[in-house]
Amino acid sequence: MSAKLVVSLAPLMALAFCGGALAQAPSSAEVSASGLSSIGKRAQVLRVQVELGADGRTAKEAIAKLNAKKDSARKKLLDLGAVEKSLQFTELRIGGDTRQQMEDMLRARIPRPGRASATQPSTVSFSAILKAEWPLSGGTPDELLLAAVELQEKIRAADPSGSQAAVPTEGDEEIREEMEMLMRGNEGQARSPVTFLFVVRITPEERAKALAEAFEKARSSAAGLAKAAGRELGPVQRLSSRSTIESPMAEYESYRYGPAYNRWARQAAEVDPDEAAGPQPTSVTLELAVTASFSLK
Amino acid sequence: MRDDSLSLSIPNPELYRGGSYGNTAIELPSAPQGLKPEMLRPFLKNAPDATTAAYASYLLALLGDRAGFDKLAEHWRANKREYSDQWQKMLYTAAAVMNNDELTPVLAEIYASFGKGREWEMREFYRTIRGIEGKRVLELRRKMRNEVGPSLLQ
Repeated sequence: MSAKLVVSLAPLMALAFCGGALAQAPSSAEVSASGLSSIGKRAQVLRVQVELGADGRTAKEAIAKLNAKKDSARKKLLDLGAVEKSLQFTELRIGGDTRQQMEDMLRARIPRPGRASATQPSTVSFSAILKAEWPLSGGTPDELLLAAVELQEKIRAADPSGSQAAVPTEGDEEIREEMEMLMRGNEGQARSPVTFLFVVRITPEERAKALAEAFEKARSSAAGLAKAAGRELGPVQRLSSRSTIESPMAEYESYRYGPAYNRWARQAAEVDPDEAAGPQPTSVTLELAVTASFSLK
Repeated sequence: MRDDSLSLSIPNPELYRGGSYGNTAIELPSAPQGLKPEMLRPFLKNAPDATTAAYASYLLALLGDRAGFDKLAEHWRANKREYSDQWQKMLYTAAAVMNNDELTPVLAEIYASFGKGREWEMREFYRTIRGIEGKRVLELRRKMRNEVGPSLLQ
């Protein structure tokens, strides 16, 4: 089963065959139908996001720690061949990264006999996201896949977020085990604060061709329905389209709508309108659905 | 306290409430103010029945005194229930309050007593004993996590 992620919903206002139909008085009888078309291409770029977080007893301390993590992460990604101009940080946000939030939650759950939770030192947390890109080049699909997987493994192993670096105390070891269990679920990758997105550019011509195909399928389906009712299609009354991409269900299955999946979905939603994105390097698929309503003659 | 009887009213909702605890810690109960171990110890030997002795043992545990813990454990073993096992809950709550790793074998016995499909109770058990410190109880909790899986932490 292929899962889809809806990333945009945009009305189509400029299809040539609309003509002046939208200006006419709406007919009381309409027929609507949808058509699908997809564009599948090999990924050209690996886009990576690294979630960074730090806490401290004061805001200054937390920000200083986070800045040190940012410097370290930037250097690690550059060493791994990231395109320098693609490196950018989001603004700092109040609140820790996913791991920090989970750690705070698990710590808050620990009962303290005879002690109020307020006795635990309060901390302040900040987080930021580092974005980076790597170009992916030719070869066979297998070669592309191999290169992409190896690059992902190197990035994970470099631990750009620094989340694996801290040496835990005995108590922290148990927190870490709990965190890993919660974030891992039934697979091993979703716990990573790093998300990967394979991106390809879609030309205006490719998009227009796919939209026209999807519209034609919608029109054909609507015509069949109209014929069944002994009528004919009139002018287009309404048009809309939406695009969907394949979501990374295999990797995030057990935690759909969990933190790792949500981060991936946010990253996917940020792609440019002339791009498509997906979880697989060998086939990035953009599916376009057109819904058309026609008056009946 | 009057003659050889002791009457206590304890607001102890932790033993009865259901539902989720969310992301806050389970609140461990404390003994009523003014209660002292010497008021309770006589009931360990001279209680009119096993239930009274078990209650006295539980209250002693809330005061940090483990003198009656074995008696409380015996009472639980003799009165096990598949559902809503009040004595089971009092026993592991007592262990959590005393924060004593030496009581881990009894906690392991409680864990082994959970039947299939009792994940909610296991979750509550895990979260209640989560604050106990010590190597043996760490191992028990790790065993639980490995055997029950992520749902234990939900």
